[in-house]
Amino acid sequence: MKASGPIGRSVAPPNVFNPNERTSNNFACDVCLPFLLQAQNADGGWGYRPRQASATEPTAWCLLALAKAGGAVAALERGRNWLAAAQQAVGSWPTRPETVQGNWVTALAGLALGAAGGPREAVARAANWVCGSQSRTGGFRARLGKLLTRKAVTEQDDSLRGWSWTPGTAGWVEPTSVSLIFLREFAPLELEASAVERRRMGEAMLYNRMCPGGGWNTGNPKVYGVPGIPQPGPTAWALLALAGQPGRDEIRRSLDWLARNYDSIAGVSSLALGRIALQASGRQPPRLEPRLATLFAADGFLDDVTAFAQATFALGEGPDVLRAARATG
Amino acid sequence: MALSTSPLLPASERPPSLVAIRRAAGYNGELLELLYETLREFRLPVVGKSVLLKPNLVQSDSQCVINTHPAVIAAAREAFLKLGAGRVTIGEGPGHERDTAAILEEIRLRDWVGGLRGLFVDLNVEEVREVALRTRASKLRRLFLPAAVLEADFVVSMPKMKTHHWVGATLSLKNLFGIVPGSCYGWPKNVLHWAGIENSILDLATTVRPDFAIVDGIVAMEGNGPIQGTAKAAGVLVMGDDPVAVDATAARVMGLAPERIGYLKKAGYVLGNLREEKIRQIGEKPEKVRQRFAVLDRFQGLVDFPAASKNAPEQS
Repeated sequence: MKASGPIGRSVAPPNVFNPNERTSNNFACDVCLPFLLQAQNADGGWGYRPRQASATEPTAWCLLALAKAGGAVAALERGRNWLAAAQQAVGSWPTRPETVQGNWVTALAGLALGAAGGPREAVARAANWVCGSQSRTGGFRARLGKLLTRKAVTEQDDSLRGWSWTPGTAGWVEPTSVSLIFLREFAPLELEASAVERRRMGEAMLYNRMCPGGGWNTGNPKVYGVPGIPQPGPTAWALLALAGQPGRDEIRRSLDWLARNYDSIAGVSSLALGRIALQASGRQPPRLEPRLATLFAADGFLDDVTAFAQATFALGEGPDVLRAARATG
Repeated sequence: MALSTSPLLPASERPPSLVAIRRAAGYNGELLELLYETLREFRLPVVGKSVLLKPNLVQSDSQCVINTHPAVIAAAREAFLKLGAGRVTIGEGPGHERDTAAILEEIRLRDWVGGLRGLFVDLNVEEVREVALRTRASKLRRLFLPAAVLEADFVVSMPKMKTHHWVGATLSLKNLFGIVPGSCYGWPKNVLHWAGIENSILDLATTVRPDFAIVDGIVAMEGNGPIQGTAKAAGVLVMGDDPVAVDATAARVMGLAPERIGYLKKAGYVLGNLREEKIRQIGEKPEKVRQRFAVLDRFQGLVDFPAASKNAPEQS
């Protein structure tokens, strides 16, 4: 692992629980962080909603948020222990312990475990599982089938393999993006030999799946010739994954799309991810706190633990593991 | 418990089904009365029960051409409460948008049903239980499904009436894809595509057969559905306690032949009534409200619309 990477970093984030170190993050400190601390389960993990059994994704997002916010040392440690214990011997994580099959959450969990100071060996094991997990769309049989049935439903290069949501299925924008973000934490020699090519192809796949006017949806840029409609979440993820290549026209157009549409984003998760991506690219989005306060007043974010954690992360001022400062090396 | 225990009977052994078609010109205040009066005719066993409404909420769409209109959801909720249901919740697991709350905000569901906290359940991230599928049409065999669905006493599938670029039409059976949790299977729930969309629909429907179906065809979608099609004012709600018969009737309203829609044809063998003579219609007759829905070229073979009809066929 690169010494300069966020995993095992030595730079301490400001402690938002200490009033002397707090800056402008009132919403994160007064609303989000207390919610997250209260929602933590006795086993150390977090469920998708309070009082639900612990699951990998919300736990990973809570660890990312707490690691960035700083301060909640005991909660962070308990969460890290839950996540480390939930990892499977082969390096992967399932959505929940009872769902067994390792899947897309592995890259996010590996990223979070590293950010929370988890065992380096466990994080590397996750990375190697991610390297070995490949989407299914680009196979010979798929291409032959498409040719024989003359199906031209989608206009995309299926030979470009990314990462899938579940093993044995097609590659999509979000799992591919998160995997790329996770893998860039490692120097090439730290991973299996296939990693360099996997990353190159994953990036090419993302460019290929961009919607014609910029931005991304789940992963179909055109269906029956009709341009796909970009969505804030996948756009933010792809931008974060490709942020090491700011000079490309596709990046500029997609950032323009996200910035232009930011004010019309309606959900907490999309607002948070959009802000993270815009900030990572050096653009300053409109203030997030007033929007969050309005949504919180309406329905308390529907008690969505992941949304609270993403908002905390977006508002946090510590080092950002999703940024591409250490772009593909 | 919503796991189906109803016998999988061949069509010849199944009693006739009742399906209601009601005209509704728009999404206005008369929907509650219309739904309540119609539901009463079915004598549904919902008194004191927990009812889960499963609308079709796919992605942000302020015009509500893609999604079940919140006015229909709100009216259905009120109607079931009025019928004596103990609790009526709304649950959906969108397939194309991870940020479910963004969809709810955009369609302004809160304005129609009040506060959503405790009322709306995101089926993509609910706790799950593993379920053995009742049939083996696909190679899925087992799925993790949300406890919120499995524990509901009465599940109502509330799709939007839409054409669909993979299977021809999406109605109350295809709407069940929304109960499959994205946190386990992704956005989209691609594992269902790889297992075969039509057979996955069948396996889901035989396992978690909706107790009732309400199809929002007031403003429907034609052409390149279920997302990129165009609005079609069909002006109807189609309802019933046999989801196959409801979908077959809705397909006829769309000018499509249900027996040519692959998954509906198979569902007609084991799950419900497909043939017109086994469906007792109340309200409007399908032929009185039938319109020609535009379909993609590959689905022209589904079209069943009399050329000499007063309602002149539209160009597809």
